[in-house]
Amino acid sequence: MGMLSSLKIKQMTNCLENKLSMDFRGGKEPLAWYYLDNKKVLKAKITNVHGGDTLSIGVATKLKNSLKLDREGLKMLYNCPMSGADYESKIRRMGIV
Amino acid sequence: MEQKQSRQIEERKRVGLSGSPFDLVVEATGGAVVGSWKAKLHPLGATGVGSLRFEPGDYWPTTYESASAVSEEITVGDELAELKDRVASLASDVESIKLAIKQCEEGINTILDELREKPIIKQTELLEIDETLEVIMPIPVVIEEYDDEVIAAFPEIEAFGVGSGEAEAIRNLKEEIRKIFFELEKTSEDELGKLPLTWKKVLLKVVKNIGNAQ
Repeated sequence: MGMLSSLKIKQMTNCLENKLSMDFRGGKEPLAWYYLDNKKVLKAKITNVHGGDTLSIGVATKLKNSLKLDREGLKMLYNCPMSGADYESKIRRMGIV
Repeated sequence: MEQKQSRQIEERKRVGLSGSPFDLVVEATGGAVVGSWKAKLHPLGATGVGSLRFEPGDYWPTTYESASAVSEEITVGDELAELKDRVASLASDVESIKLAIKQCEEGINTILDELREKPIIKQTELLEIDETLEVIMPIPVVIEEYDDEVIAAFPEIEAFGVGSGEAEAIRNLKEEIRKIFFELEKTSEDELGKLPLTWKKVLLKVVKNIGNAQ
C-alpha cells in the first residue's frame, strides 16, 4: 500500500491544527479553513467513514488536493520537514491568496 | 668460444611486488654470457623484460636465483596502475547502475501506488439539496468508487462527501455544499481569497437560499 493509505487521522489533524492553524473542531465532518492575510484561502476536511485510525485513500487524495500539495508535499507536511511557514510560502508562490 | 646456450627455464615462484603476491614465470634464453629473460606475472599477464647474465657453468639453480633477484626490477607499475584504474572505473559504473536501479524501483513503486489509488469514476447530477437551498441549475457530481468507500464530489467548489455507498456519499455531499454555501454567504468578499471567491460565484449560480433556517 502507498503512502496515502498510511496517514493517521489524529496525526494529520494535529499537524494541520498546529502548523496551519486550521480548526477541525465541530461536528462529524468539520470543515476547516486555512487563513492567510485574514482571508479564507483554502479549506480542508478530515473524515472517516469506517471508524479506523487512518485516512482512506479517497479522503487522503481529496485532502492532498485541497491543500494544493502533491504526494511528496503532503508527506513532508505530515512527517515534519515542512513547517507552517514553508507551507505558507508555497501557497503564496502559487498566487491563490 | 662462447657456447651458445639456449635454455628454457620455467619456474613459478611467488615473489612480492609492492606487497602483492604474483607468480613469476621466467623464460630465459640466451647465450652463455648474456641472455634475456621474460617474466610473465600471473594472473595479470603483465610482462617485463630485462637482461640476465649467464656465467659459464651456470646451472639451473643460479639462473633461478638470478631470475628471482632480477624480478625485483620488473616494473609492472604502469600496467598495474592501468588495471587498478579500470577496476576503479568499473566499480564506479557498478555503483551508478545500482543507484539507477534503485531510482527505477522507487519510480515503479510510486506508479503502482498511484494506480492502486485510482477509483472507478462516473458522473451524475444533483437536482436538490435540502429545505434550505434550492437547486437552480443541475449540479454536476463526480462519483468515485474505491474498494471500501464512495466519494461524491462537486469539483468546482472542491466539495465532497464520503460514504460506504453512493447514496450516503451524495447525502454527505449535499451537507457539505450547504455548509460551504452558508459559510461563504456570511463572509464578506474582502475576507475571501481567490479560490473561495470563485466557489461563492459558482454556488450562487447553481443554488439559492430559500430562506429557511441554516
